[in-house]
Amino acid sequence: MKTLSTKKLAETVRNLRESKGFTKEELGNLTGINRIMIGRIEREDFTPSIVQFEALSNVLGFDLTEMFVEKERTNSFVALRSEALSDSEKKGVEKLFTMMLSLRQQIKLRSSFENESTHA
Amino acid sequence: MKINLTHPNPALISIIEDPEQIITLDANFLIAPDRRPITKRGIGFEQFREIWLDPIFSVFPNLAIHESVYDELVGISPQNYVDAKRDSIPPEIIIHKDSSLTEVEKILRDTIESKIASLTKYDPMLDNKDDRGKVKSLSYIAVKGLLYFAANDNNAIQLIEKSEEWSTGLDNVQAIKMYELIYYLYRNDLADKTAMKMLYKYQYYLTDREKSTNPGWGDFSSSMDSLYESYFK
Repeated sequence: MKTLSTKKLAETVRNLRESKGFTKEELGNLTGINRIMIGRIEREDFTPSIVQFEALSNVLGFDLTEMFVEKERTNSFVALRSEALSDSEKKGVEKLFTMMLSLRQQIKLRSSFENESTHA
Repeated sequence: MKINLTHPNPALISIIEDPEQIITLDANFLIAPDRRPITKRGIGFEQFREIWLDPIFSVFPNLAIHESVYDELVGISPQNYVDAKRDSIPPEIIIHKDSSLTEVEKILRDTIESKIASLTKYDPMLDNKDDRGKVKSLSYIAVKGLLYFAANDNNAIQLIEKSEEWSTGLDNVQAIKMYELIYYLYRNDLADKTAMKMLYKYQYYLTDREKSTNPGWGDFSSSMDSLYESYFK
């Protein structure tokens, strides 16, 4: 599965912007992207919309597809899914998924809230 | 859900100025709320259609849903309602379809989807039903650069409002809450005023906890007036 590499995008935008002599504000004016967002792209902290992504590619002159990397999809839950399961077993596995995914969500949300209060 | 009246919502201001912008709806905007057994009274679909759905579809001409939200519509009535809107000529609802995404857009969508999903009960590899509509809608509109997502779900709203802190990739998206549109309809006399009060009370002022954290209708309406009065022509 391909995904956007925010690292590659950050390096590309920073290098090309500097080599063309643009400030973040100037690049922002040319692409219609707020200069703060340009800064966040360069810090690997912002995923652009398609319009913003294409504007950056047009102004700076890079190939969109070069920003993508192959990411291996691994998922421990998928291993539990089997065609050999009976209907009642499948129902049980789906219930288990729901519980595990709810737990994952709670852990992740709690950690996000904790990060926020640490940085506040 | 907690009512937030601390600051004006830029998304609502923008909608006040131009109600014809595309607003993508979460499933709970289309399903009649049912808060039984907290209260004995439920709201049937026909009543919900009359007091809420018909007014919003008449006032906002570019309402949209993602195709995955259609699958979440419980019961035949909401699906029939959306079918009729979709099949009307010209269509009265926009359906966001993943098949309309280009290859590059799909990769961006997958990137954002994986960021959002870990904070929800949805897993893209399992493609399970929990939170599927919400995750698919948000990642689609983020990629397409669409601005507004209307929801009555705290988790969905936080994914947008905390996008920077939580790195959800939804920095371009803005949330509009149901109570903000209830107020909009009430303020502009675009729906039955008594019904708007009733819907507010039903959604936000029912339990003891809600009564201790949320304002009653009078305070809510006057606080919203203070926040938004200057934006109405």
